[in-house]
Amino acid sequence: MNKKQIIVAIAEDGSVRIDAVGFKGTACTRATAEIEKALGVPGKSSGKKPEFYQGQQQAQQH
Amino acid sequence: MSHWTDIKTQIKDLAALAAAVAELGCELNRPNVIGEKVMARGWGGRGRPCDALVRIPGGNYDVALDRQPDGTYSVSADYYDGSIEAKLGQGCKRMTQLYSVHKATAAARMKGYSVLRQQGPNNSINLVVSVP
Repeated sequence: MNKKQIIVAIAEDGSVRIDAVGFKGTACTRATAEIEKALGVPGKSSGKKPEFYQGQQQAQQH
Repeated sequence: MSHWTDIKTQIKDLAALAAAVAELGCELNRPNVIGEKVMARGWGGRGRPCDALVRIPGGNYDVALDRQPDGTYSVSADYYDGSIEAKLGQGCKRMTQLYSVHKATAAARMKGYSVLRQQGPNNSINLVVSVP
């Protein structure tokens, strides 16, 4: 079973990247939402990796 | 791996900021009464009222924090003699970095997640948050 982790990388200039690792489907969004909201506003880029869509594809098959 | 997001930090939590500046050997001063102001020191003995300030030990100038209508705090300072930059980083970036560390750690722990802090490359700090 993959370990679910959120990596918060805070650069020297204060910019932050939040990376959710080991999640499937939309669970990552729920897990990181509070941390993202606590810190500030999303910057110019955010992206969904293949595993994000895995949960959605499985749901469509049922 | 599932998603990543870039965040521009906004200072909203003075308790997290107090912890951050304490880690840098400085002090956050707030008014004793809500609605009152504190005086931040600037060049030439000029002071200006603000909602909170960061005091550098042995320094002549303070960092002023002003609460904005959206609840965030703007940061301004007189960087003239270099004392603020020496402690808090250029443009107070070290202060902002540690604020993010403390604020994100608190938010993660509120959800019951455990947090491990690690030094990253190029003076970055990584928080490894384990989600049960």
